[in-house]
Amino acid sequence: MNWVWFHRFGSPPYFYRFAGRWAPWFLGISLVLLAVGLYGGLVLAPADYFQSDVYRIIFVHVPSAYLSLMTYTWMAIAAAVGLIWRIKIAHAVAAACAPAGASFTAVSLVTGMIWGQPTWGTYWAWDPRIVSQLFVLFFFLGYIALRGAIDDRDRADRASAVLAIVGVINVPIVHYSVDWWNSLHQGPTLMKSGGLRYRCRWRGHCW
Amino acid sequence: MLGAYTFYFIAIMLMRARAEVLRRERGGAWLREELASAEAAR
Repeated sequence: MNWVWFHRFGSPPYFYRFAGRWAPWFLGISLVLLAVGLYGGLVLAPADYFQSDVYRIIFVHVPSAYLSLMTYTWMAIAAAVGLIWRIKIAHAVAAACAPAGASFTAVSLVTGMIWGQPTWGTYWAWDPRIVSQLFVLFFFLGYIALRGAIDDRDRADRASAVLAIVGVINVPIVHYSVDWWNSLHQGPTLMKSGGLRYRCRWRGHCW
Repeated sequence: MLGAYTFYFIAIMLMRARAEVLRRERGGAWLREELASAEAAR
């Protein structure tokens, strides 16, 4: 396989131009998809029989939780690439992931708490899924704090990369926590074999 | 929504990484040329 296209991203001028050209497109597409998703979730989807309209928070909660884990994994991969092959752009990408990932994680926790009060009767439970997700937030914040605490950029890159790589062990723990321990949080739906049926039409009719 | 969040993350990641490159490469000849050509195009 020819990896020349990938190696180009290690060049700061190439990456700078690439990011400048494509970031607005990705942002535009995300805004369109967000409008479609919110319309589908808030207007088209019917109220749940048991939970009424409270369940609609999952349209924000679930993608936030997925993105928090995806962002952490991506950050750890970029940090490992930067640490092993000493590619500066990889460290820049890892550093760019941390604030976005921390935001996704915080949103997933806060929306979970808002949903938890009317359905579980409490904002917070010391549940394996919730606590392990809280640790993801701590790893993101720790990564940001560690980078900010070291003045020398190369040392900051290396130290924060090690922290990111160590913290990635928490990602499968978050994902499988609902299977491994008795959890108040519901089990997996999207990634479970024979779980959610994907062929759903608008208005929640699945077949 | 998952697609919207994913594209949003990619956009934010690219913008922040670009700003990080700008900070790291300050003083680089290629960056001076890049900024000068962007200024000229404006």
